[in-house]
Amino acid sequence: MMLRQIAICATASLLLAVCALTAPSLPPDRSSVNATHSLSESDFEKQDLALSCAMIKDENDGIRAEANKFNNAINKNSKNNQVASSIAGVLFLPAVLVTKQNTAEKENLNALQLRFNNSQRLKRFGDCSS
Amino acid sequence: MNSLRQILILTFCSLFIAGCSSSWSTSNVDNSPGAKPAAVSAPDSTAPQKLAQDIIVTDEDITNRKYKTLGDISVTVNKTTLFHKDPTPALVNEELRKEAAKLGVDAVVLLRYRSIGVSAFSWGSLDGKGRAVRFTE
Repeated sequence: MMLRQIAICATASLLLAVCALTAPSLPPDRSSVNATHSLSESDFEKQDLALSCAMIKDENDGIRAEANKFNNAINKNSKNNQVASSIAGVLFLPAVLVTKQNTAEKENLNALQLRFNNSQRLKRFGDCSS
Repeated sequence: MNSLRQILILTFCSLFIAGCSSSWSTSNVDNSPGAKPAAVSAPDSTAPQKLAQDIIVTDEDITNRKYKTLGDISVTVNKTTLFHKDPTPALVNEELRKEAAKLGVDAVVLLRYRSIGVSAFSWGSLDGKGRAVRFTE
């Protein structure tokens, strides 16, 4: 009986672990003095190269604001997931189906992170101050 | 009856653990990705060591000073029990600073976070990554 409960808990845990994601990867180093490759015009789209430092800063602020919206949606849902997971682990395994993984929000955040990485490179390439 | 006893035991265990630290963390340092191998470095004993709280942490790149990359740091802060507060970016920054201080760096740039949620080992985690750099001028 006890063994069965342990098996159920382990299955629920594994199900949840599969849905876990880590922070987006860091971009290859193109900024330090010991970077193997430095930035060149070919690293950017033509329209990106036309951006001024002020425009790059605005782009950064816009990305942050958008990311905040997605992060808030994920955080709002996290408490529900925690309660559902505890019920799934201890009492009723199907409760795990109530958890919401916010996959769409996380994908949007990944896309925003790529845009942010690009704007940071533009900032460096355009000699914009920090 | 037996089931009720088990629930009570689990509740007591949870409350007991809730009295302990509210979070625990793991960290990892990946030395100099994308940087020249010669730059792969252990903490520089000749460089003045910075206190953790003096290390700059930012989600942006620092463009007005030249720097050397020493490695990429990743940190995961985990929530100990269901009853504790969710880990915050501030907690992740604190852990990143501690790891960065061990490397003897000046700043951690290009920070990014991701809420991992409930996993097999935690009631909620926040993952953070950043690039550890030392100013050369």
